[in-house]
Amino acid sequence: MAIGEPVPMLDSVARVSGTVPYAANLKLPDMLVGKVFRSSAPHALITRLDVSAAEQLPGVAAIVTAADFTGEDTPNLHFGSTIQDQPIIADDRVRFIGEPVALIAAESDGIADQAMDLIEMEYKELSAIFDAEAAMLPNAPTLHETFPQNIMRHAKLRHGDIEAGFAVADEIIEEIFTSPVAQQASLEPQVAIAQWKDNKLTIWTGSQSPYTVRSVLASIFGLEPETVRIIVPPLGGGFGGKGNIRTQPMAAALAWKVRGRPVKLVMTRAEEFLTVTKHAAKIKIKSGVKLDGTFTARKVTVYWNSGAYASSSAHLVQAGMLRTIGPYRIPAVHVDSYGIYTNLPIAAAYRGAMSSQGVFAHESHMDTIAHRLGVDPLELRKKNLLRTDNTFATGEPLSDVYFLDCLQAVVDGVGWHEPLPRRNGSVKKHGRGTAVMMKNTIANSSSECRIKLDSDGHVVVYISTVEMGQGGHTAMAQIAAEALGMPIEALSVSGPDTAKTPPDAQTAASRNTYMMGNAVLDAAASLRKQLAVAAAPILECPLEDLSVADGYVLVTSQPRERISYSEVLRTNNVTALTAMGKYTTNVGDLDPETGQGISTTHWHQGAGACEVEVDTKTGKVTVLRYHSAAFAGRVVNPMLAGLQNDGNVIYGLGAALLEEVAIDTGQITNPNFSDYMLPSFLDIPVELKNVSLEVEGSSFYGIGEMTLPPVAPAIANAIYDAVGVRIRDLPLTAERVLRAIQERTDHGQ
Amino acid sequence: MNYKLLQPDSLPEALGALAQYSDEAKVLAGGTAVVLFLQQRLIEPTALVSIGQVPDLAYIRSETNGMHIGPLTTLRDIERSSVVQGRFPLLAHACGEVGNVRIRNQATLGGNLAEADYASDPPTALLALGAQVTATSANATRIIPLGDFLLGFYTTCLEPDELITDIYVPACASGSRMIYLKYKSRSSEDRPCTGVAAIAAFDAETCTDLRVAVGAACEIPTRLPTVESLAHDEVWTDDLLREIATSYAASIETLDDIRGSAWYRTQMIRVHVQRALEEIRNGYR
Amino acid sequence: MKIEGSFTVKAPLPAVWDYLLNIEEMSQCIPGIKTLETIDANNYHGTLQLTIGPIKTAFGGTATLLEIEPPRRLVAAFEADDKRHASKVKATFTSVLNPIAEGTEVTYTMDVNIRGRLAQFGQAVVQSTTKKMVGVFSSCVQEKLSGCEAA
Repeated sequence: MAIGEPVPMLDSVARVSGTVPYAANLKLPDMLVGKVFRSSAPHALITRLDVSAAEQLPGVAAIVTAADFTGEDTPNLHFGSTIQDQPIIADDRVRFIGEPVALIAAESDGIADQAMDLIEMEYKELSAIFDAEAAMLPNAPTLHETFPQNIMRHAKLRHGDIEAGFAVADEIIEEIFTSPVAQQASLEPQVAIAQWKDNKLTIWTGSQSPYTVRSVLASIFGLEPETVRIIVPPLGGGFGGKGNIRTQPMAAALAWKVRGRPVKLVMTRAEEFLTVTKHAAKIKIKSGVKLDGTFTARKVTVYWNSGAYASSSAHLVQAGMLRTIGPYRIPAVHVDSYGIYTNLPIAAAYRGAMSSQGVFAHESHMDTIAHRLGVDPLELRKKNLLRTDNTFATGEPLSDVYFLDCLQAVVDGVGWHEPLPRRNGSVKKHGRGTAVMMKNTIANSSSECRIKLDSDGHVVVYISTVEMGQGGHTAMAQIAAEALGMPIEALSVSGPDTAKTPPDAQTAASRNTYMMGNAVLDAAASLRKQLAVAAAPILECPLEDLSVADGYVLVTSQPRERISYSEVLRTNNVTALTAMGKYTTNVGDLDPETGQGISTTHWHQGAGACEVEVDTKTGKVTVLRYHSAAFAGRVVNPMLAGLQNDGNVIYGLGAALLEEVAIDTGQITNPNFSDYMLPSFLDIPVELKNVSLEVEGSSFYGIGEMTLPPVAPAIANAIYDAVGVRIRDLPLTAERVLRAIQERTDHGQ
Repeated sequence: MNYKLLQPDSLPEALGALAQYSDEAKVLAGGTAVVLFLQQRLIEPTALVSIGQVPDLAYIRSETNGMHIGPLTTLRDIERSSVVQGRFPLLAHACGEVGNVRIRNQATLGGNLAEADYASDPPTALLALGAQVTATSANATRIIPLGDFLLGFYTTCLEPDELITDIYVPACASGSRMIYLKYKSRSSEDRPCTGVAAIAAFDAETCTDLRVAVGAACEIPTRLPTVESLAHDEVWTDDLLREIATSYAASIETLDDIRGSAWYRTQMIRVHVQRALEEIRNGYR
Repeated sequence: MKIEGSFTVKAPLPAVWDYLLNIEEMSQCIPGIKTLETIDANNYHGTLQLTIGPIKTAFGGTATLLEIEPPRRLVAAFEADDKRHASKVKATFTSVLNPIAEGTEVTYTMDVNIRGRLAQFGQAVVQSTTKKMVGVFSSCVQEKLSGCEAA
């Protein structure tokens, strides 16, 4: 049967022979090149913008500025999926270096570049702010008048009596952890090709959320959603950066001005860093514990540096509130999660949105507490990890949580209790560390699917799930194949195309296997029912005596009385049968003052454990062994699940050890992969293993993100184990480690 | 980007183009540096002189007194050459440390030296080896010791109308032991944070010659002959190696960049000069 | 980025101070300077060309004297554009003069911000280039003031 089989990606041959039709490679007839003229000041009033010379350059088809949006019948300049604070191109002011100010459509890249050089912009600089906490201070410059103190969102969680909790603590431990601005770094950049024809807008784009793009574009241009068509080819990576809405409004604005010819807008690598980033975060975490290792209270304040416009930060800040607490029994928890505007590019979802920053904080903190109490960090976790029927800080009861199992799997894998090579006097020290993560999923959303069976016995699954290299389409084909009892070779998957595939919220937050998987099951069940109904008269049998399995409708008590699906259709003179499926979840409403409520349908759970070697003379950290575990419920494709788990760890090595967007008063100075450092294949631990935990009878849990957040804290904890230094700021660079080691030596510890 | 692309198929033609365009021309060999500068729109030459078709500029010729390497020889070819590995394993290794194999298949030794990027491996090795560069123009040829060739950040003594036409590595004393240590503070494919090339000759336990070049931590690769001479006629003790390493660290003005601060690089010079010498003492070849 | 340093001029402090504040004179020592116009007592406009390896920059911009505390301390602000590279440099420059045995010690602190395409070029190169310019400048100042004896 297909579920549980290590089926290769449906398009694996295309992937290795370079024929996947990525949007970045798409060429349409008569296509124009789009480019973006950008602000060079972090915060300024535009005093003059002159595009006349650029417009007159031969080969320039159109230039778009905010002036194109001021008429009565013009599109809306401002957009946003939650807060409409973001102009497609700057209005009277710019709020970050790199903000789009004018758009160019030209016959070629060369001409577009020349046009860029002809645009003249003068501005009056305003005071700018780049640090989130500082942006909240009274005399900080304000980015948006309706958001005093630059607070775009303040999500609150209040659970239990925090004062009483700290009052009865034997020890109170307080720490501050920081994560820098980082970048999602998909190999394929952001792409949007737009064409405006007969008052209809078509966009080909690498987006993780086609229906959000459709809905926002429809409201910008005052169109019925059905007249906006979003087509999404497979993505060359997404990692959250292609969620929500990004460059599509700019492409659409160019196409609107040009009318007729398609315009292709592709970001350069440097522009990728200006388009979307991972939130820098400062997390203050304070815990009260008893000497016996139980928690009495936890207070967290987190400042998310959201950049100049809200985008998806508006709701990510609330998700982030829940992801900085930790999977532990704590009777009193207060969290203040601030999303703050600063004069930097927009921060948005990054694989495991808001979890990496939170888990780095609470899992590093866990080890600090363990060391303060003089207990083994593993034992402290085992003692406090949440179990089924415990209550989380939102007040919701937990079910189907397996944090202990995830933790046990990774510590067993890494050989936690085996003696480490600790040779006295050796320059290289070994250490071990572990971390556990907990994350809510998108709790209130819907996925729909359509399955078509034709009389040749071929099945097409029409879904708006985005294939971004994770195998989302393959998994859906497997689920459909098993539900219909057909070989996977008979299936193909089509979409997303909003003209052809039904709505899906987005492909993100590890929701696809669970949500769309269940929608596929729903559609398959409906299709099987239709087959039975159509077969009943042929088999001359009442409906309740029929079964549908393995490509046949058969009489349950006499299985040799059967006809194939194709026969059912042909006999009924029907070329195809179509069935719809839907799956909806509807929780996630939290009280705005207390954050209490049901935050999720099920919990994402993962853990990691590693062994590192630290060169005490250089501070260089080498991860020798890394074991990860994720709770998957029911694994659809063990090979792809394993690759997701391992892939997460490799991705996480970057965030833990290497990656930081370098910013000098608002100017990004390393927007390229020579200076912004991604991990190399040679950095992968010699021993890299993972496990996807399953439980009999479970539903699909999704597996895209869980083993990523534990990476940084597991390594930080292992560094402490090896050399006794606690690094609280990412990335854990060799220089930071060396300085900490020398400081420790200087203080005679 | 509006430049004229010239593809001369002889050396005189290439040199004629450079004489004509002078500093408005940029020479293109493997392209691994020039193309990045062009893409980032940091340079805007009037002419791009691609010398890939010029014959007889890619070679490795071993002679009694030394080895001649052509400027268009790729770093990968040098890395894999059994001749280079046999005579100057330091150079094969340093070339093999650059970036990754895809870059090494394109990048040329001449281009690498002409670019004079400080965060680079081959120049450090070549400085320790006492290499010389031949620079040729339409009218003249001159031979320049590498130490005088590299002047500063992205700056050599090459005139706009000159091409590197040969790199010469003189033979080392027989039985020389040599090592190149590339310290990467970040990923395994990163540019060097600090590179140390060391060559030593011994008469039994006594050192008869030592050359140590430090690169990537400072503007140009640097040797300190007075410190090197501390090792001459000496048996290598731990104290001696520590003294040499500490002197190198104290004497070289280090730089700050994304791979490490000046302070960190000073520590890395000390650590890696010491490690290089220890490896040599342990018989590394 | 911050760039700090100092240099010594073998001349008495008042002479060094006067020389530094005589902008027309002093600017001739700035390497790469091409033109300088006085707008008023505290504001100047100039152009400067600088080659860093393969990159030929051409800056045009303004210098403003912000604080003058004779004869010891001055603060100036610079802002210049290199249109060819769509880049801008903004810098504040603080200098304090101290009398020493040999003459005058000139200490300086610069806060330099580079925006645009040149920003990717590399902090190490900017720092080193700036320090070299200071080196050339200080030698030139020394030469102009040689013949002044230390007090």
